[in-house]
Amino acid sequence: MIRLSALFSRLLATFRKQRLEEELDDELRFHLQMETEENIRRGMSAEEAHYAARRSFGGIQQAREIWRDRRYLPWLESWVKDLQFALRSLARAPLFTLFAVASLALGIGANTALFTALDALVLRPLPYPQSGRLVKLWETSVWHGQPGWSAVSVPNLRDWREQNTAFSGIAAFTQDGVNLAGGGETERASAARVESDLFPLLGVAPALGRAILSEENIEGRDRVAVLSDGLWRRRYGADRGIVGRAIAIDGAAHTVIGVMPPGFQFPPRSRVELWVPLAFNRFTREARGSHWLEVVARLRPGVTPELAERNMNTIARRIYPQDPTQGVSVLPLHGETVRAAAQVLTVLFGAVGFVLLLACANVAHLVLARMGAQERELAVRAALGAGRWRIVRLVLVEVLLLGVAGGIAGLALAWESLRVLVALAGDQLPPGVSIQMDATVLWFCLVVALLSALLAGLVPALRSGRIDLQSAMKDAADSADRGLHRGFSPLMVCESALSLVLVVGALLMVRSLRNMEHLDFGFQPDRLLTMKVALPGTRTARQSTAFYERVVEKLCTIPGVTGAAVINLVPVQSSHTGSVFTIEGGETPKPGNEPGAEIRAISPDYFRTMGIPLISGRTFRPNEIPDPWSVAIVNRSAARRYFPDEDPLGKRIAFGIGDGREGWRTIVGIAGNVAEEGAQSPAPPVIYAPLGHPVWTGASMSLVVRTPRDPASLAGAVRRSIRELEPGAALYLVSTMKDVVADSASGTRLLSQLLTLFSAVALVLAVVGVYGVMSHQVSRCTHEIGVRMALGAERRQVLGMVCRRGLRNASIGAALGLVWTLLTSGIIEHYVIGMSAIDLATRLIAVAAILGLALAASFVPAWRASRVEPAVALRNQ
Amino acid sequence: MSTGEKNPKTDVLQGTLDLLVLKTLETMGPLHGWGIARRIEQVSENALFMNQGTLYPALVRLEQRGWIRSKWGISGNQRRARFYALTASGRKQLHAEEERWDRISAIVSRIRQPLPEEGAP
Repeated sequence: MIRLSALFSRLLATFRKQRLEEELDDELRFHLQMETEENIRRGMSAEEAHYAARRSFGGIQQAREIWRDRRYLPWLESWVKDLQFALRSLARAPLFTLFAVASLALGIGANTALFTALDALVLRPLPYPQSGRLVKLWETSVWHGQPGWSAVSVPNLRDWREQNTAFSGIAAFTQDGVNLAGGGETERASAARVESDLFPLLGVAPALGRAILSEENIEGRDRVAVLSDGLWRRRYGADRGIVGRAIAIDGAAHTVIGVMPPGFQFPPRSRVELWVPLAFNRFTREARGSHWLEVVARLRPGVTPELAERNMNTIARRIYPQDPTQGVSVLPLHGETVRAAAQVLTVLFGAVGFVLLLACANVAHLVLARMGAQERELAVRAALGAGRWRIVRLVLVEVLLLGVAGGIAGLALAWESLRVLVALAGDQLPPGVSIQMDATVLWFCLVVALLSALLAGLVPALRSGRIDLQSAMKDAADSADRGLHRGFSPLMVCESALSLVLVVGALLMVRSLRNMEHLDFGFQPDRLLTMKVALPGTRTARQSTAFYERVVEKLCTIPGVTGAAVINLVPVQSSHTGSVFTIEGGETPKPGNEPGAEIRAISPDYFRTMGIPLISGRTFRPNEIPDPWSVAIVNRSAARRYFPDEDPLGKRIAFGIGDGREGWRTIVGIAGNVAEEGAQSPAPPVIYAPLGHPVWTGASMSLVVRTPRDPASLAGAVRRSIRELEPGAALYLVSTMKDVVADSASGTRLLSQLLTLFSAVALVLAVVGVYGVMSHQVSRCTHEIGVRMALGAERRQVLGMVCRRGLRNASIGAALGLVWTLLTSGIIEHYVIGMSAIDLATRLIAVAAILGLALAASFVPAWRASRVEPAVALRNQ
Repeated sequence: MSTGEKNPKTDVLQGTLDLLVLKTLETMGPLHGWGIARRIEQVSENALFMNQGTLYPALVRLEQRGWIRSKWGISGNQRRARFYALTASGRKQLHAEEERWDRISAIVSRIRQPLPEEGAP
């Protein structure tokens, strides 16, 4: 307490110095007068009395100094003095200040912007009570030697729920798109079908009405719906009377039973606005091989995911006693939710971290170069008694000032660039996440600014502590140990290494994007339009089939359309459905290990429209559509996997297994593989069935339309044709196939844009840095150059010597950078398309670029050095 | 500063000045700097050697600690002077210091006077 108030009083005193000094003078004068008078009273002469008084007082100036040290905060004052000195000296060098602040601002700004995104997208916990205990469960197994994970089947879910000791709750859900009708236009909405356990498990109750009851998870009683706050406000005008009323979901009346509170999302970061009961029927309840459920669970207090996994694996072994590879993986829901964002942001953070390091290296360079110019001033200070620490402090205060200014400018830059970032990422940003700066971000920015200032100031500060008084005071400013021929510059090496890494990253992404365009997806994505169509109401498969056949017919009459077809799921966009089937005459597989494939229902013209080659056999005939049971076409993957040593043509298969098995169908053709899940994933086995199959022909199907013209221009005509046939049809996900393909590489595209931006910034910083160092070195070595030229060195040799020096440093840096890119290629692998992440050509280009730029940046100083007039250089000594 | 041989004086020990100032203010009431210096010299009968100048930094410290407070006033000979006065916490501090001082000097004198041989413990 005493300490603190004393400190406070001293701090206050610092600001009232003049007044206090005057008072002290008064007090001391009074003292001396009193003492003098006393002395006179004792009988001394006036003069004698005066001197005696001074004597007994002791050193007035000393007393005053001690008093000042006590009265104020001397260390604060000296810092303030240093601050003023630094401000003045920065103001005297506006270009230096501008460039240093701009460098730091770029680095700090990019880091702050990215941290803001990271904070919002990855670090923040999910908005459920105790969300850290929420996990997702997946089935794992080894399938044909490949470890894999899959969604969960209903019987397995039931066993898990009955036998586990790790979870306080388990709930399954699936995601779905539905048509919302009534009370306005037909609208497509994202829905989740959920078990009643879900809402209590999440710990969130509806703001209005009630949640789903367990008896509503039975088919027939499942016609109820819970709305999101957003949907409730947008479509139903926030009408509190909505609860109890019926709305039409996919043509069936559902009673609204509740409205969730604002901000509630499930699955997290999804666009789901509607929750309806997940209902099982007789077939799904017993199909252990049919993996289609996503499962979320809440860990009991004290149970870790690892413990839970052990518990679940025991259960898996009980379920599959013959197959020890079957297991369960328990992953935190938060990690699952943010994984994609975290991956991209990790790569980007690496990049902006490098940009910041580069900026620091540059500022360090600049400060060093300036210190060279100030060396004499500093040396004078040292000679006049300033301690080493005091001189180091001068340098530190200067870089800290630069850091603070850079931090403020960086914050402004981050603010702006966040808008750019959000615009670039566009609809890839998950809904319900607002990327905004908050106190955490400000702290981050401050810490980064101070750290980078210290980092940039480290080398200069260390060196300033070692200023050699004598040589600095002497006019001979060039120290012999920094001759031209030596010239290993760690800072320059770092700069080349850092920029090489960034350039390699950017090149890999840009080339991946180029590769995308030439990549073989198994079909021709150019000049192809695709969209989803959803019919209102319930239709039988027969009705849907008839409708879509009419659609195809009608679309073919549109001028410019050269082909049209229907499929349940278009490639690239599709999700994994994984159905099981039986091969006629094959051995009975182990339960859970039945042959599996993606199943696609198509109209006959599908392969021609898409440009998918038929390897052998034929496509479906139009007359096979009314009888969708008889035939099938397999893709090359399925042919290879299930008929490795024989010709599949003429063989018979049936969808489903055991009692659920359908009738046999003959394989009539083999189609080429298609990149079902995007360019980066291998093609899964696919079985095509004719349109009309009751499971795979639903009210909602995808259309593909081929045209020699710009496919986007057809969208209007296609929409009109379909509306003419069915006014209530909902059209959505209208897109050119090229865009669909491009979207599958959205991470790559985002990275290629940002990495290109960052590496451009890095290159500019590096070039300016190298140029700065070389100019500085050359100016320091003017004397040496003069001597060399006086001794007969030619201009060409001087030029070569300086350039070589720049190149040597750049080469060492590039080599280090190369090693780094090879060691860390793993983090970027996921986004590299059509080439290897350790691609050599890319690295050669990058090295050439770095060396070229280093050469260019050293050339100007080198040329200047070669113009040195020996006589002038030597006389300047 | 060395003590003159003719006029042997004791240097004011570091830290004892505080005690002297506080004690002076307790006995004399509010007093200006010169008065405090005079008083200390008088009471010690000029046996204590003190640079009067060192008094002022000490006064600042005591004031910052809240043990004394100062006010400008008019001295006996009608001059403007800064008067220092003891505060309540200063009084408490003084008593604590005095007690400590007594204890130390008691210990020191006990060490200097050898205990009688038969002295009961």
